[in-house]
Amino acid sequence: MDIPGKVISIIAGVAVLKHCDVGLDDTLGQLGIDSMATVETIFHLEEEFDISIPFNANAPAPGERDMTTVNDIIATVEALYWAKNPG
Amino acid sequence: MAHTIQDIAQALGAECFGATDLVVTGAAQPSDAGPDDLALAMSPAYAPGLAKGQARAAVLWPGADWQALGLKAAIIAPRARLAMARLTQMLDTPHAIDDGIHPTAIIGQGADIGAGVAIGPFCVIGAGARIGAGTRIASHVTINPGVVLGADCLILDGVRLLRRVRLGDRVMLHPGVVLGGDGFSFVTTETSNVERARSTLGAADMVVPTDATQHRIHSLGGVVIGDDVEIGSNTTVDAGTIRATMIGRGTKIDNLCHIGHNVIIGQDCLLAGQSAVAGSAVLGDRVVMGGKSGVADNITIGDDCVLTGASVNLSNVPAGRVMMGYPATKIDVQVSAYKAFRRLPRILRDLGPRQKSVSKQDESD
Repeated sequence: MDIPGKVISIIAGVAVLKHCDVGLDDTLGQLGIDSMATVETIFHLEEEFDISIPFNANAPAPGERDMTTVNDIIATVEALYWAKNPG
Repeated sequence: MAHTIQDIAQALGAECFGATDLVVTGAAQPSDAGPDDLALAMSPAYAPGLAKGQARAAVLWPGADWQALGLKAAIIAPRARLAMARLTQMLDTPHAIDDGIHPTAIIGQGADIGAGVAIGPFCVIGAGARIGAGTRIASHVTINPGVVLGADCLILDGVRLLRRVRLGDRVMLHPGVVLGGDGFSFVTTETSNVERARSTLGAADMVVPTDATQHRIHSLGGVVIGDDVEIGSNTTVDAGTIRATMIGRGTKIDNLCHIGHNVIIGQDCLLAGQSAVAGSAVLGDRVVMGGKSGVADNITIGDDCVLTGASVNLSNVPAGRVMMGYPATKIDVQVSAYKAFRRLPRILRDLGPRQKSVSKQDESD
């Protein structure tokens, strides 16, 4: 399961960018993804990986994961995916 | 329109660097700029474009290294869009409206035309209309008898100002604006289905009326537009019934908006394209309506509210609230509801097997 590749594809799709133009340290804002598009990105991720991502559209609430950079998002998706699909 | 970099920077209230006596004759996108253009590169995304174009001077983002970008002079703009506002004001050419009154214009008896007023070809100015000093009127504009315009207005082609319209000073009306058309206001002899539907929220059946005649309520109130209001192409503002429909000072309205009869809009509001305000609604000051958003009749929207694009606001909104969706709710409520809605298919899928086990238990009872 290539989680990072799929996450980057989804983000690139929402940002209307090429796969290679999405950097791991980029924030969604830097990629031109605003608050409503962030919500849309999260839904794409939830539907692709069949997970539920706890998130707040504005800032992480206590207990929520950091979703600032592409790397943070990959880490969150990996953790939730493997928690749901052990082994 | 030749200006030195120094002059432009001063007008923008921005810092400039390098050969500040360099003269530019226009503005251009960085990649299209010629040697005499000022390239507008207000974010780092434009840096590659500067290399493609021939600009010697540019407006740049804070922190940009103008020398490394190969420029001879630069203006650093801390707030790009504000700089754009002042720069475009400086570089724009005025609308081509000749001074004086064109011979094809028809001016009604007793019309009071102020000093320095320009009236273009084929305009019809009604009897007793008053046009304030310095106002410029383009071609094919109709101004009904008794209408009042303040000073220094700009009325572009094909605008129609109907009965009982009054404009403040410096009002700008884009082509095709119609102010003061009759309100959409009718009443039936008996209680109508609309009243029945509204009062019972669908609990009562609609009935075939014995008399469906729609009696016309005439519009006697006109329209009053405050100073410094700008109204976009083909937008309409209907006349009030008894008192005027009012739009407050400094409010800007986009193209193709509709403002119903008796509406009151406060000061410094922004209404984007296709937004619509139904009859007798009241908007406070500084309200922003996103594109295609709506406000229902007879409700109040408080000061400083932001109604997001395509939101439809059906009930009163307190000051300072951001509203979204249909029916519009606070934006955070709408986003939460949307989150739940998007997750619903997966929740139902996961619920499926459990539903079956519940129904089997029922059968065994």
